Amino acid sequence: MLRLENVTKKYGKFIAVNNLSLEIEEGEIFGFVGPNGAGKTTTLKMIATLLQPTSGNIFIDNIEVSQNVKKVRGIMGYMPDFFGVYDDLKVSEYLDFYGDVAGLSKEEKLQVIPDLLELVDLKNKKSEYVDSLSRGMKQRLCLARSLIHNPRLLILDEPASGMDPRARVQMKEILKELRRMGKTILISSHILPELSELCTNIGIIERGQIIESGSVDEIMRKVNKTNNIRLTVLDFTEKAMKLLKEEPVVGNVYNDDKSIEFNFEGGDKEIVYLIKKLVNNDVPVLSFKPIESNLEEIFMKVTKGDEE
Amino acid sequence: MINPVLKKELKTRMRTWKTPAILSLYMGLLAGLFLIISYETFFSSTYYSGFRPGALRETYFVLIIFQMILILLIVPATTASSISGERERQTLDLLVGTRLSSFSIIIGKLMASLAQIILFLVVSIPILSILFLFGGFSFGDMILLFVFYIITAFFFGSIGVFISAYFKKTTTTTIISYIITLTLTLGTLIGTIMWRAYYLARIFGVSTSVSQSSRFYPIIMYLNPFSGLSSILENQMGINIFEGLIFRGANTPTLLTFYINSAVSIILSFILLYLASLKINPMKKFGNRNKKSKKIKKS
Repeated sequence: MLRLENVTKKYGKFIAVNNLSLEIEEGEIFGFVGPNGAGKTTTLKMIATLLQPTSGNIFIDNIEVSQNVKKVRGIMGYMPDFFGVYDDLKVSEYLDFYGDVAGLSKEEKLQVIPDLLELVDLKNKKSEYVDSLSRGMKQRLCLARSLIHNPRLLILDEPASGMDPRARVQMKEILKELRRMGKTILISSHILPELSELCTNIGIIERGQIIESGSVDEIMRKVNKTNNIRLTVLDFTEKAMKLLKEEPVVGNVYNDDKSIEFNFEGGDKEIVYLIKKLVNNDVPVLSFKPIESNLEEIFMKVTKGDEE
Repeated sequence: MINPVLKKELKTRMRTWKTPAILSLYMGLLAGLFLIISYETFFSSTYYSGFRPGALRETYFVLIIFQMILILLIVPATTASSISGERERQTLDLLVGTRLSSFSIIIGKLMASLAQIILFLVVSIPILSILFLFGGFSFGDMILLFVFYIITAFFFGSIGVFISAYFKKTTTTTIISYIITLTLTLGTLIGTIMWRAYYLARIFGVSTSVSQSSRFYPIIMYLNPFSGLSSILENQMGINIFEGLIFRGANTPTLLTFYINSAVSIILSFILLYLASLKINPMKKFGNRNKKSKKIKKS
């Protein structure tokens, strides 16, 4: 559905996006993660035909975007991170305007606009001026705008930024609905746990380059070469720590009251051996489980964290 | 189908208090001037204190020029923010990223401004109609003037839209638009007078007649809307003052300057609109598209 081939964007000597390649299949929800200034918005703008790459090619539905801009814009809907709205229009008029711009007939608009207002939960606001809407509502209205021509690909740049938790949950529900509708979505966000719940794949970008990409699980496996394990015991914490430190597959061991956390580089057999060893040495083991990294931890591990 | 940008602009402009307020001010100024001029020309003669229908020409002349000045004041104000305003509101990306062509966006913006000018012209008809009651001017004369007003508004509107596309801030675009308007009206006139005075004094001596100077057509005056306007007015009144002084000497009045002025304005307008559409089109800037196309074909 979307393919980027060695895309580079330079502003003078500054390289915003550096030789970036990416492929997103139809129906996929791809999360684009990266620190501020990593090149996310620049990449999304190039896909949305709002910026021309310095070099490289972008294909949407196998059409090179600069070859048939009009057709590509019909396939894709774009929601920027910062955007304005026409405050002097009413909500339904706002969508009506973009319906006209997209070339929809009057009948099509009459059918599509109420459905979109329902989808983004703004049906009861249709006669109100855009000016009177909250930020979250404006974000949802902008999302509805990007859907007016029923695009197959959605490019969403930080769609939940600046929203309160309730509005964020609403936005997440809308995105889930869009996923059910079979849309291909490329979404950038800083709210990483939400991405991990929503996305089929993620790409981590830093300094204009994709440094990791794949499914959330794949990236976790790549990043977590060593597992962290939490052991809970009823008693004999010191003894348990001593026994663990004797094993070569165990790295750093930390004590937190009755809970012990340690780095572990072994497989399933070594885990069985460790548990057996503790039990045979009369350590009362309550639980023994790997600590799962979330997307935020992976992000922190993978990126260097310095903002450009 | 009506241009979506034009449709939206008309809807939002007509909804605010500004349009009726400007419209009322416009009519008020025209009517006020009409009353003052009428009183001065009809009733304040030293020799005759009654109504003098012959003075209608003066009133007509002043009103038509005043209306042109008002148009030249309004058009830059309404077009200078057309694109820069979208940029400042952060709505430009949303608009240019749609299937609507950049040229349609530019034309829609300009047409919205022209529609406003047409509305101003329509509301001025009742005031001008009073002059028609006394005869001397035909409806055709007024139509010709209105056509020229619209051509002038189109030209100065195109300048406003062009400036608006190239500069980011509305304050800057408004100032530049007014500077250009002043340059093309007063500037070209002063420049022509100075150049002519200097050139003729140098070549022929200071006592040069108008007919001798007529061979030096000041091309920049074809950018000045008052050239075309004077051509129409003098043709209607059968006089040859401005036209004779600036362009063709003491010949019989013709509409030639009006035709040239209009043609220059229309051609330049389309060039400016095309350049403005290129400027706001993110995929056509600096000819990158063609270079890329060749590259892809090769691969």
